[in-house]
Amino acid sequence: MLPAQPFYFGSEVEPIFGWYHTPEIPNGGGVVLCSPLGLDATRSHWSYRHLAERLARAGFGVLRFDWPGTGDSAGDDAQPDRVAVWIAGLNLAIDELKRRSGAPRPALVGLRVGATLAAQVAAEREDIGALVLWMPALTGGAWVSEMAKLHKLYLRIVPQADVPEPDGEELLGSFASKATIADLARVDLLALPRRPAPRILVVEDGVLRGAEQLRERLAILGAEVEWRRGSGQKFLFTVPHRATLPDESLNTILHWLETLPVDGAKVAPSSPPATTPFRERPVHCRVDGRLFGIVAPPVEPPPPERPAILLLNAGAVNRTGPHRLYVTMARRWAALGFAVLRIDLSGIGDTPAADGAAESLVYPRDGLTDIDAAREVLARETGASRFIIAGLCSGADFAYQIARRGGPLAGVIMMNPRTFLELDLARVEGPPVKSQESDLASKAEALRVAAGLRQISLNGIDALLVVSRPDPGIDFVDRHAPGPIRESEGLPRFVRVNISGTDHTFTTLSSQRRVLEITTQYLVRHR
Amino acid sequence: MGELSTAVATESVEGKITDLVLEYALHAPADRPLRPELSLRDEIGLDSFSLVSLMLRLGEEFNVDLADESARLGIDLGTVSTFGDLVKLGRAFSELSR
Repeated sequence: MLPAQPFYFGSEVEPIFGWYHTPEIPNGGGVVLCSPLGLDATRSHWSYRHLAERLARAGFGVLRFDWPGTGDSAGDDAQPDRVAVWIAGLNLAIDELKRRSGAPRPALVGLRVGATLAAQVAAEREDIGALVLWMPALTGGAWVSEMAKLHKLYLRIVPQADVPEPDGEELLGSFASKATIADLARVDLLALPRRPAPRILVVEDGVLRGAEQLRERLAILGAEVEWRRGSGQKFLFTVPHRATLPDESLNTILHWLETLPVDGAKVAPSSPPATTPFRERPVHCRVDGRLFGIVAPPVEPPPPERPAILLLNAGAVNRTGPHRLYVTMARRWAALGFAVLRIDLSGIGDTPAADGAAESLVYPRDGLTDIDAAREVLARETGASRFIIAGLCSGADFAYQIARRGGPLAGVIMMNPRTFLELDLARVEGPPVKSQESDLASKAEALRVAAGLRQISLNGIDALLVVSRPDPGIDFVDRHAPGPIRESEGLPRFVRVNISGTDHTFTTLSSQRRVLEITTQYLVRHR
Repeated sequence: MGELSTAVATESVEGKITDLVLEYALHAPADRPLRPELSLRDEIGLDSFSLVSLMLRLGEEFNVDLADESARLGIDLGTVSTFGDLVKLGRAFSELSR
């Protein structure tokens, strides 16, 4: 398989990040994958990468991209005119795909609200050959309403500080302004003015409200519509490291697209179009170039002694981090004058797994060597000789281990470590086991963490530990080694900050702002 | 007749919730009917967000806004941890939707 190319396209004001998957043997067809938004985008990233790879193997040129203000694209979700910018962004993506693949009438594949937006754009053009609506939201408003309800229910189940956002709605980690909500409400599959594509595939599982009306509307518009069942929504509501690929849905989409006639040239255009410059740049690390990350360079050249920052995946969430927190952090810290590399470890995000290893593992086999390779690239790209390693959840566990080993580290930022790679995950996450043997093992593990924190201090490395209260990893340590952990708070160069009223991934916007502020203040000391 | 229809309604509530739980379960249990004490988190792998998604669907099944109605009825959703808890919730909302 030919390697996919990361690039930026669109306007220099708000460049869009995308991947182009070059077909192995072009069949003349092209596909634009339209991701969903918010938590749906985080949860479907892995599936979309696989879908793109399968389509490219089948001969399609494929472009997948992050909507402006989301993922690795420039901007954020609080900016004005989001819906208009998204629609313009998809139009640019389609034009870009046509230039790169030579496909004159590409297909669009959209998931959830990504499908709703895709249909809206397709209906305004005349060059979309086929459209796949994968578990579509009937309207953008229905999607917002569902996510807002989920957010409110989540706060009832995992109680935390609920600070109202006066200018819009919180949607489980992301934000929609009142204007965005109003604009999304007007994106309506039942009010499409024209046929979006001559052939349409709807993949859903019998839970789409308004399915009959949609079927009727598309028929009235003159589209040839097929309706297929897929593998359900489980991949969207399952935490990424426990999710499985929705293979049935992916293969249904692939095989349906393969049956359609294609009218493009079966030779790829000779030279790819120019890309849009952006401050951030994609990098590949390791000798085999497998490891993928994005460097946010400092706004001004830093003094040589200033450390560069490496951000490690939180669980199996890609480099953008839960609720895009890593992108926000990287850009804020770059504005402070730090170079920041957010990386995908092996088998996570856009880094393939090592040979023989599984994907989507929280603790990939090659994690520690990946981090060494990432540090080398960061040194080469930025000239830095010292580093700060930061991460949330398993990213904090790896950061702890690297700091414990010592080396050219200036600091370490550990946000809600899960196991410190010292604790037994099953004991941390599972139901309490009452046995002397289990108690002794738990105490021994917690004492190792306390000893590790002492070692980090002895290594001369500044350490910031930011923890939600309650959070399973730190609670386990506090419970089983209360004395030594209390003592660690007096260690030189060690700071622990407890944040109450939040969850493991800082889902509420107020807690995201709080953790960003705490970590940024810590970094100010290292400038 | 009244008793019979109540029994059928109860059965259908349990049936609906069983179907939902199996749709959302990471590890589907082999035994049927599902045990009331079946732990949603430890035995079938539901994390908080999966549980929230399941509850939203549960509310849709019974045509109630689960967040609002549970608050009105004084139900603490944070205590829902077993299959039996979900069935109780489903019965409460089933009554409301009649």
